Amino acid sequence: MTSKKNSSEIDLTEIREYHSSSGGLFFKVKNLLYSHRSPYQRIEVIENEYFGKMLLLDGLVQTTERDEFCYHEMLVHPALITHPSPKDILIIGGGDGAALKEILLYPVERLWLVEIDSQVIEASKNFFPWLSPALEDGRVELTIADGEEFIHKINRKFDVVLVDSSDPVGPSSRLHEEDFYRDLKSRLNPEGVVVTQLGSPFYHLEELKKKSVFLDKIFEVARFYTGPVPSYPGGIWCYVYLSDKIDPLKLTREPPGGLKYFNQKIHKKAFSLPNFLKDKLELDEEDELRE
Amino acid sequence: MEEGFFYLETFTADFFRQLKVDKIYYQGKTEYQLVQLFHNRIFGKILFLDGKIQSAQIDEFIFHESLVHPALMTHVAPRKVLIVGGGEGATLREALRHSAVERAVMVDIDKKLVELCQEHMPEWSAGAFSDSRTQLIFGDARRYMERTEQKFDVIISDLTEPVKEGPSVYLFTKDFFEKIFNALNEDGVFVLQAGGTDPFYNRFFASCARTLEEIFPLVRPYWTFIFSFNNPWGFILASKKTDPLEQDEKVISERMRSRGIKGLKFYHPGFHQSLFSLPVYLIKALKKGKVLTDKNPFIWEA
Repeated sequence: MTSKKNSSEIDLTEIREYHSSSGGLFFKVKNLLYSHRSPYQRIEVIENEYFGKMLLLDGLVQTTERDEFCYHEMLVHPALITHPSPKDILIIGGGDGAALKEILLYPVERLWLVEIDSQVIEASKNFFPWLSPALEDGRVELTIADGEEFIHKINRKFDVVLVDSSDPVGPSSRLHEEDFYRDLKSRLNPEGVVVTQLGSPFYHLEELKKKSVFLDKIFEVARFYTGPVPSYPGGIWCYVYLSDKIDPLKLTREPPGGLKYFNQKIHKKAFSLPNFLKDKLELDEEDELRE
Repeated sequence: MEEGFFYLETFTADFFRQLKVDKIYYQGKTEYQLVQLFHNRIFGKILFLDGKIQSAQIDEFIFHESLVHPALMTHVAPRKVLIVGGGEGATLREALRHSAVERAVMVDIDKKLVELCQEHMPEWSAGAFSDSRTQLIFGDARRYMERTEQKFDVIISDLTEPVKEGPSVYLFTKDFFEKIFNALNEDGVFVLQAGGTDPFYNRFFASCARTLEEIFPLVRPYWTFIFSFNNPWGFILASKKTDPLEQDEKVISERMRSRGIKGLKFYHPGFHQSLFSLPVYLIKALKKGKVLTDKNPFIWEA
């Protein structure tokens, strides 16, 4: 065990992501490819021997070349294989384009990507191969805007909305609040589905519990699910599936070929929560009667 | 970030974790391995052996419930259980929850480690070492398996990964698994912890499964996530006769009830079958596993 003097500032040899004052993950920097402060946040792209190219926002890992599929397949496919006919899709956030590429595997008709920070798009275009071709797809419309304002202004409804935001610090904080989900619901078609990432079921469990309480009030169906992401703190991530009509365990189509993490059995497994998460997140009948 | 003492854990040469050390309970070498036991505010007490995390107080229940209950629930009447390794005593604790268990033998090579665990982390064993059904044997599992004439219903392998010159290298080979097979009753079940199952480091898991397939008619790999390992983790259930996938929610509920099992924090009847659902990359990785033998064992490289 060693004594170390610590600094949360990036240096050229190592990225240190602290999840609390009691510890964090370190990523050795082979190359610092991009470092920039946008009006919204600090943006870095580094190259790490293990994870490949990594995008960090305000020092937190968002996407890595080698394990992004774990996160993005779990964000996208559960909604897309259960909605009866997903035609109009909205992604809020997701400026790295990786959720976009997953959705384009389906015959969707129109796809809006609403990212607040144009410089995340520019950095991702330069370093992640999937973004530029996806943006050239005729179905895709990129809008640089605040997700909440976009929802207020847009005069149309969506079949599937994915909230691919960063954590509730910085520009994404509003996207984690109750009002935002009420607004989102008003932009959904009757059979619409919302999926959003909710952070770590370990480090963020108390916030998860708070969200589960208001999400249960807003949507008929609010089902939590999980999947691993090795580069994220704790290695496992939590998502929520929200709808008024659709049962997330009733599949309407097979997932596309060529996926690396997701399959139908994994879909079911993801929604099957262990006791300690069930107890925390799933309201039982007694709880519902009490309300 | 605070000042203080930190433990730097190497996942790979390019990926690390740092944990703040609030208190050191023990740090030193036993006859067999380097033991580091300390306290961290988030994870509670944490045990490292030869620099690899074994368990953390906050989520050790995930590892130990995942290791023990799928196998014991697959067996219709597990009366005699053998645990190989399992120094912390939590595997024993979980096995003894099943009232069907009449005798649980635990064989661990490292007496000093077991004593340290009893002294500094009694929450893990929670009285299991003094249960009248427990027999604790200090010795080499390999020699025990060669000499014992006892037969078991369930054998649980809770060993450290086979690090170079560590005590576990020859406990993950076809030669050893054959001895396990022979010490099982005809409807016996074997389960082992089989290392990480992330998309990059899963060769050990795949090779253990491949090796067991040489011996057992039914081999069912499964996995779960363990926060304190920062990794999805693999286990393999190998069975002589009973398929764990055929034990449905109703069967398992009934067994839990009749064995008086209550208060689990992780495993439940509706969760049992889903543990065995594997991601695409792992199904592919399993096809590339190699047969491990005493001549060609697996040596874990950090």
